[in-house]
Amino acid sequence: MTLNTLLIPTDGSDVAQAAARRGFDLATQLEANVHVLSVADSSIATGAGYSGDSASIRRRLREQADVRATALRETATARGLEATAAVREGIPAMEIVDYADEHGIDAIVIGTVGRGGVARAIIGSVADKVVRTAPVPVVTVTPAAGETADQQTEFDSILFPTDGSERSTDAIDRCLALADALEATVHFLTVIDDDLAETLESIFDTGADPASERTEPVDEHLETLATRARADGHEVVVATTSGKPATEILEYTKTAGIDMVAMGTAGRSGFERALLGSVTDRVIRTAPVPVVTVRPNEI
Amino acid sequence: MSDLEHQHGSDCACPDCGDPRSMDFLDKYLTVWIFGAMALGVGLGYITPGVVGPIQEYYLVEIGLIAMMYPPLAKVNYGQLPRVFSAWRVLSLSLIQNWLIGPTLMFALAVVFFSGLVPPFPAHPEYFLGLIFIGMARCIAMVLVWNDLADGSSEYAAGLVAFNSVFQIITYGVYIWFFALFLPPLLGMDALVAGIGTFDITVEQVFWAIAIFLGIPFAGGILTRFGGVRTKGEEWYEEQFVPKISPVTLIALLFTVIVMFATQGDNILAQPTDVLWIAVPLTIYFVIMFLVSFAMGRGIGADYSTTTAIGFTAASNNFELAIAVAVAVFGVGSGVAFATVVGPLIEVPVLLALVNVAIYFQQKFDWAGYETGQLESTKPTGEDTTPVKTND
Repeated sequence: MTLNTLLIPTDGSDVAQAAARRGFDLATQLEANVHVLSVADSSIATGAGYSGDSASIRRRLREQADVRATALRETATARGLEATAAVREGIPAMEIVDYADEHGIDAIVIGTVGRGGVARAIIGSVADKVVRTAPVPVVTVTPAAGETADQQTEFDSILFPTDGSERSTDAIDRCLALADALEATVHFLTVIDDDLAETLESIFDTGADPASERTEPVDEHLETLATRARADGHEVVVATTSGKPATEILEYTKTAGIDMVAMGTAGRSGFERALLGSVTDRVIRTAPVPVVTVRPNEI
Repeated sequence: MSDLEHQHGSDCACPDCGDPRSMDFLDKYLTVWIFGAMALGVGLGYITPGVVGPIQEYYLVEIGLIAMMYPPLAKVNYGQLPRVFSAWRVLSLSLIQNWLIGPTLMFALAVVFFSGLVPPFPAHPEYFLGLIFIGMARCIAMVLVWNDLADGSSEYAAGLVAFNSVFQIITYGVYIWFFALFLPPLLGMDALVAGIGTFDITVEQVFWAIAIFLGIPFAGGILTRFGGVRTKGEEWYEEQFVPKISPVTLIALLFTVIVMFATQGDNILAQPTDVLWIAVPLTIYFVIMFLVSFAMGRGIGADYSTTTAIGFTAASNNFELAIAVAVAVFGVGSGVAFATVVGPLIEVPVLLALVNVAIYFQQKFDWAGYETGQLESTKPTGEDTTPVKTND
């Protein structure tokens, strides 16, 4: 994964502007160039009046997108970045993903308001759709992660939560290059899910001493990851905690002063996710730092 | 012109493929269509009075009403809702305007003009109820057109329309009950109570009508949205499906008007001035709501484009909903249903005038802070249609 070109979409909202600032931070550190994109949401025009479309509204939305993209490009240029601005018309999430596909984009940086549950299942979220469908890694930035006033803007440490699954190992393999490019310290964290383990034990009654039984394979897994990463020249920190995965990941991010979290996505959507949720999902919505996610390779 | 990469089209903002800001054909001549339908209805009733029989027998009117309500509820723009919730001060202004001042003002106007309490106006219970049915039904998709013509924020207006569309499902019945059935007797409108009494309507009837003519289209809208997006994709739904179903509202509306006038053409021709009598309070309502919104928007320091969006959502009404419930409860030939049809009849001329007032305010107060592209007349580049950019 080389990161030469970042795509930064904006809809003019505060969340998008804050995300763009973090995107520019990232681009600066990576010495990457940026594409800023604003999409005129065509569903607004098709919803108008009795005719079901309004050329006039389409035009207004495009003008507005033009203003937003141009303004953001100026901001990028002022920060010394090589920037391209673009305007598209259509369904925002789809246009963003298509644009990334067509222009050889290496990663997308997008703001998210952190909506979850039923509200998201109904309203949807552009960031969410982009995370689930983008062909490249997506960096999501919550409003909290967008505030850079009291934190440094450099990305010096990246947290890779791992549950030992193929999915998380795959995500780690693909995101280590990012740590490379940023010259960031790599943190591997495994959270032992107490609730899950206890539930399983109460069902199967394994009678084993819970703590040691569980930590052994975990330590082994972390050691393998760390050895490999160190061999590639990374500075590595490993950690194990127990509790609820998402909560522990966020807690570790704060206490260890992590600048970015890297994870794989589960790819669930709609009501299924509203009910089941996913760890990645919760981290994306609530992380105090940008979160980079990659979709499973096979999709 | 824009040096940004964009997809060119027939309505593109480029000088090469530019198109002047304008209303679409179907929307622009709404008044003409409604007048035409009225004339056709009256003619039909005069030539073949029996034609209405089979229409009512096969529930064609009811089917038409559901068809009329379905498109606006299928195209609710849930995606723009977050924008509405992002600014609480502006949202509370909109809520107060739409759900407090609006209904109260319409009730007051109905009392003045049709309750019989204020001389010299005689009591006219049917029109009183017609106004109430209109006043409690908040804005519709046409708002987006007015708002666009006045350079309001399309995104914000789309969010407000979505909010009102969902909110009215819960509130319409309650508001109708409160303002049409509960409040009049308390204010001593004996004449009116007697008038309503002769209709023999009950709260249950009103709620049933709303459940059917708002509930079914809303449920249908949700089902088709999720089904359509899941099976054929969001792009297909927004770009293909929504434009196709949108005119159904107008067709069904015109059909209802034709049947209505075929049924009661004689009564209307006998008292043609009644249209004017209903148009007067409605016009006053549109103008006051619009002015109050603008004053309040400016008062809290909202920008022009957002204030305009609020002004038009507050000033306009969901006439289709009013018509559907009035027809369902009182019948297609009732004076209540007739009163509700005056709404779409005068909507275009009155709101077009308000569009010009909005633009006048923008110039007079040099009202800035809009981000939705500038007014043609205030563009620093004069005749040029180039969108003004903050830089370049």
